[in-house]
Amino acid sequence: MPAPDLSRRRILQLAAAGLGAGWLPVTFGQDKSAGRTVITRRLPDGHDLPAIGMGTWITFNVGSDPEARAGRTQVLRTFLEAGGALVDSSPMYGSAESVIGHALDEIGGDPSVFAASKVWTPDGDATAEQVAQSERRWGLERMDLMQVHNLVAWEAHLEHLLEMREEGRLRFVGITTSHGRRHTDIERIMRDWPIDFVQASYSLANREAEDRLLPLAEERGIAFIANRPFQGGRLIDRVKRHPFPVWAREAGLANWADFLLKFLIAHPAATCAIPATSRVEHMRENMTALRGPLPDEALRRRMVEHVQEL
Amino acid sequence: METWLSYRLADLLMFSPAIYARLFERLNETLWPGHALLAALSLAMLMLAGSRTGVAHRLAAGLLAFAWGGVAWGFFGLYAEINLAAPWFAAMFAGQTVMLLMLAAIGPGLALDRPRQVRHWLGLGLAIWGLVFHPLAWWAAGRPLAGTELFAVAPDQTAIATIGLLLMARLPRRGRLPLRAILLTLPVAWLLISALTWWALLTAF
Ligand SMILES: NC(=O)c1ccc[n+]([C@@H]2O[C@H](COP(=O)([O-])OP(=O)(O)OC[C@H]3O[C@@H](n4cnc5c(N)ncnc54)[C@H](OP(=O)(O)O)[C@@H]3O)[C@@H](O)[C@H]2O)c1
Repeated sequence: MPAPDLSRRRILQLAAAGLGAGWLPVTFGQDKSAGRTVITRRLPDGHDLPAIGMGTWITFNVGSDPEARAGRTQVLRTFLEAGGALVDSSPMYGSAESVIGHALDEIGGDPSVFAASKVWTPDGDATAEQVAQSERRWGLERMDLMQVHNLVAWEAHLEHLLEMREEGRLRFVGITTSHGRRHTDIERIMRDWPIDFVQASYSLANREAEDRLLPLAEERGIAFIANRPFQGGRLIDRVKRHPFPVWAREAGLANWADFLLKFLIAHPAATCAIPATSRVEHMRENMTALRGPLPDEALRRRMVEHVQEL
Repeated sequence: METWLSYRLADLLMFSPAIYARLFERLNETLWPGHALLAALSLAMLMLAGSRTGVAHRLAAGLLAFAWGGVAWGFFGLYAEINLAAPWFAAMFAGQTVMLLMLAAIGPGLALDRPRQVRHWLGLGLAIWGLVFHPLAWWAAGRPLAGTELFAVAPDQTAIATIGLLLMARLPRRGRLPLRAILLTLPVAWLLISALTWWALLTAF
């Protein structure tokens, strides 16, 4: 039985219709903009997740600034309308979770967001509290994915999160790292613990994850989220100074964002890449990577060589 | 520890320069048209500190404390929304407020000396820079006028002007207590933190 997406709005709708919520299938991966099919990846529970998600580090930390909040609402709306689902955040990102919650409220209706946040506290007993805090900030009844941020107090948090998953209080459990830190610990946890997701830095200019993490994720059936796909913006800024190669256009790639992101999601073990942006026009560019042909191995090699030469 | 060492300063920065600059626009928006009162109080503080009576000096120190309290409450209240470390900085500003109140209540107050030594001239320069030129410099650098950072509203200006005033002030040692050094500690510490923040903002984006 697929686990449902229990957003508060949906629960209210179902309650109004006199229905239980337990049977409703998730509808991620629908193509909303009457175009080509959205590229999706199968999750451990059999659902399909659109392969381009969205990060919120820095970009969504705008506090109560009404002007900036309206701007971020437009960014999230553009993302969802283009068929995106996974939004990644953390209590470490200041006001980002509340800004997402505000945007979801503004967008209204029943946005099929895949809510991914993190537990980030040295207090190993505060897991449930942090999950509840994320639910409150996002305005959702239940988070889809909770990850132990940067392995902070990971053992205690993982135990609690796995319990909560058993009880149906969240759908998936994961761990995160970035900048290539603590890969040995990450591997150990991937081998020893029944986690659903792992998140680590993976970009065309930093392919360390290909050595061990991605193969292990594939072997263990763990979904892989690629964070910092543009190396915090440095990579895309660098490539954008150069003309977009004709051969890439001929291969069906639309722009540099499409190039950098499709490279990642074309890896057979990569589930989702989560670029962050504060700008609607950048979101539109990034979401071109959710449709169209993916590069094969030969083309991927050419992409690496090309970027290395720039 | 090893993991911590692998962080660059810019990795710890959790907001963009644009959102940081917007804080000042929003504060000024809220304060408007209270800026006239603020200017009047700043001027009053300078005149009281430059006068010859003890009560006036105490009032001047009280007004300087008011400026620090205002920043602790107003600026850091807003900054805390985007920076998880802001409550710590707010505590620094609150601490300085308390110390300046003590200077007003049980200390000599804020009495400015006529500039004679290098210290005085340096102080005068810093006070003028903090009160007048620093806000204008932002404006000249392209910040909209509405986003100007002002004394008693913005932390940098308040700290710079305070350091200037303390350097100009008559602050005799109290027994073994180096009053001036004690009162300079938090403003200088804040400017170091602010410099690191700006360094990160300018190198990360
Ligand atoms: N340990 C962890 O758990 C961890 C660590 C790091 C990251 N993450 C997650 O991964 C997400 C992504 O990483 P990140 O935000 O650090 O870096 P990133 O996604 O690699 O890069 C973000 C930067 O790229 C720029 N950008 C985005 N799209 C663009 C486009 N089409 N053209 C030009 N510039 C573009 C953005 O600027 P504009 O706003 O101007 O578009 C932003 O400055 C984070 O937001 C976070 O959710 C998790």
